[in-house]
Amino acid sequence: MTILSLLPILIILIIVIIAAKSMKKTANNQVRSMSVKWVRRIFGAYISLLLICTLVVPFINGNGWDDLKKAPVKDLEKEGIALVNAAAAGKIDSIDRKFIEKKWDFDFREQKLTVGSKNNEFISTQIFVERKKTNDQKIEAVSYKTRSSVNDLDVTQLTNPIRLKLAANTLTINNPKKAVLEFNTFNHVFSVSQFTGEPTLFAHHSSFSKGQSILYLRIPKDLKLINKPDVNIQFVE
Amino acid sequence: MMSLTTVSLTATLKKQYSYKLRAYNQVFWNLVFLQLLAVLFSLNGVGMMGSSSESIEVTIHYYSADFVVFFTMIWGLIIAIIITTKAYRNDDFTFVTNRLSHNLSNLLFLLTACLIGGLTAMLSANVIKVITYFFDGQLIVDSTSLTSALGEFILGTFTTSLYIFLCCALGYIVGTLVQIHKVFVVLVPVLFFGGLFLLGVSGNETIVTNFFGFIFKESSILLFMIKVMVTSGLLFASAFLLSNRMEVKQ
Amino acid sequence: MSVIECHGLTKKYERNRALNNLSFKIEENKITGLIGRNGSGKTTLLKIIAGHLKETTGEIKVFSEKPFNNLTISANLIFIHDQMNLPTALNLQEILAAAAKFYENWDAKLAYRLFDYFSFNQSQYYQDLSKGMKSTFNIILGLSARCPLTLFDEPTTGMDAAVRHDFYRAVLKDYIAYPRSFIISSHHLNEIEDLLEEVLLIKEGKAHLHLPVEDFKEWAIGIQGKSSIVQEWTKDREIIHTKNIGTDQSYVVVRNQFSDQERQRARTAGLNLTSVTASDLSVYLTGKTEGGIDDVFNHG
Repeated sequence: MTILSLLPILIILIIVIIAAKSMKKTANNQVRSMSVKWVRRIFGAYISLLLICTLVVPFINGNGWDDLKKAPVKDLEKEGIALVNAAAAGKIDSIDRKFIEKKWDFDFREQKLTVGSKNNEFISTQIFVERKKTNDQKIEAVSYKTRSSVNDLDVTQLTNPIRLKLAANTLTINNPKKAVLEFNTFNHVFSVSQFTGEPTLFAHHSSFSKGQSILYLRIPKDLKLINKPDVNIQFVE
Repeated sequence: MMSLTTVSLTATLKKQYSYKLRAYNQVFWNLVFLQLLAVLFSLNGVGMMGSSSESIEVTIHYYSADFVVFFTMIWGLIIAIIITTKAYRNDDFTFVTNRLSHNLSNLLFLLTACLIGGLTAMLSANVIKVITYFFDGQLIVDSTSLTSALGEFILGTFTTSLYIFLCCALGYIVGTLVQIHKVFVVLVPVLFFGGLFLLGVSGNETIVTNFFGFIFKESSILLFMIKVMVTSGLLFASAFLLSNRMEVKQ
Repeated sequence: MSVIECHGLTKKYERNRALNNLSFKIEENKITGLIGRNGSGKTTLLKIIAGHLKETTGEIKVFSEKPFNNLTISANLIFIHDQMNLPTALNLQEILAAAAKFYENWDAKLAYRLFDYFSFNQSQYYQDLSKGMKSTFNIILGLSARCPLTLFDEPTTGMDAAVRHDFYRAVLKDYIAYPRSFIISSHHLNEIEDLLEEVLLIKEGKAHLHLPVEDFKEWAIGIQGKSSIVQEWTKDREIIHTKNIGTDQSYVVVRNQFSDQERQRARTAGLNLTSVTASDLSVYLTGKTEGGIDDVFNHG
């Protein structure tokens, strides 16, 4: 316990003093206090406000979350690992098609392909490359993404796909457009959470699980691939 | 000779109680003020969690009525102190009273105030929800699920009222001490904060933690109830005993 | 049954004694005037009777019970004084309604008639009243409560003369209609002497005199004449007050124990015998025996 941890107590003390001063005044015979009638009106109005809000809450509760499905973190981790393992082992077809986020097909007649990011930014998506058996002059790109969750709710649909652009011998990869998600969550007051075993007194618990995303490229057999250091490419045997 | 009126303690208590609900109703205006202030503070959230990567940025704002309950506890402390002050105390002695009925009717009034405080504090959570919904417009994920809402509401009202009551008991004994001698105005805060500070500085923080944890960390509702009841009962009883010989001073 | 009985009543504050071995007895249904200078212990006595203060030593019984911390006594007396605490949150009408609940014999009709007569407004607040209006409102409370014992401590503070006289009449009328005990402490003895049945005079925390008011008026006699003759006549008597008039004249107040014969002789000796009014007497009795404020200035 440091002196700093006394600060909340000090703040409370200051509030106490200010509040007590304002209340004490009314006890003093010199100062007019609010009439019984007005106190009743104000208190009545306050109670009405509380009751109206109580009636409104069931309608707004969980609003916007209705279309989000439950997604336990435990399942998500398994999915992510399974995806990477499958991709690395060349068994990407065994992955459920629901994880396919986006597909691209490019015609490509050149001998060399440079893979890089736009402004040399780091690409967090892992890239797997599989050489096809033939030189069909086509590049297939598939982006896979497992589910992401916030507090066990599936937010995958709120995230954006990776961006690809093929031009002049260069495949430019861009990170997805950043999805900015803001959530408000309502916790029990400490006098309830104390007895329900939830985190209490300004302690909070949240989970955020970011899904695994990979880009799977299928390239012609003899295409020469040059990768810039900002992308991480793993060849599939 | 007019015949003497005989009065019973309970009859007097009833009269004093209904009188106090009217004459002291100022405290409920203070309650509204403090709770609305606390609601305002709560709109800022009680905490935030952020998580960010190249592709996604998640921010979770936490809201709860913790502030409101805290402020209501402070309110309980203050009103208990205030009704022990001369201005309120002497009001009683203008009419029919003795020291026991004076104290008991104060206790009844404080109990009522605690219930009202607990109830409104719990309901104020809904005000925070509604305001954050309409003015913030963001998604709300509510860990206070609706299915068990009523049970939790009753539990919360009960425990919050107990917390406030404990503060009332503290305030009442402090107020009574101050009425006995003005030196306690200085002595009580000095002893309390000085004690906390010294224990903190000397590294005996476990004592402080245990001191607060005794109530705040009790997870059994029954034990919590017993602890609060016994503690505040002792505090009130000491205040009653201390003030039973107290004279009325102008 | 006597209303108040006290023996050897003493109240100490820190060091000084506000009441010092006070003993007296007040019978029921009397209007008693409590007379004394500031600081003589009047208010302390009334507070002890009302159960606000606890006696240091001695014994006090109100309606045969100790008044301190006594609910029955509290219900049967009302203590009106100029520092009354009334709830600031309630308006006058609400205060009357609250008082009505506490006092079983409360006379609401009387309360509202007095309320209107003195032109109070129901929605006024006590703390907004002037000093005189506060006193008037206190008196409405005191009379309407119709308690077996009513204590008025300086009830007319700040009132103008007309209202004071209204008050005295109100007390008298209500007393006749509902006989009960009143104790009134006041500076204006001349105004209330017609109202009083008894006078209890307190000096330095002790009961100095306790007499029916008629006896009180006869209790002393003023002698005026040549200083030498006056001195001779008052030599062995209980001197209450002396005052020099001019160079060789003096005025002396002594206990009235003269026989008719003696009075006759005194008059022939050139002395002027006058009765002493109750209020003058109370001033003399509660003051110092010799001299007065004049002596402070006549030291040269």
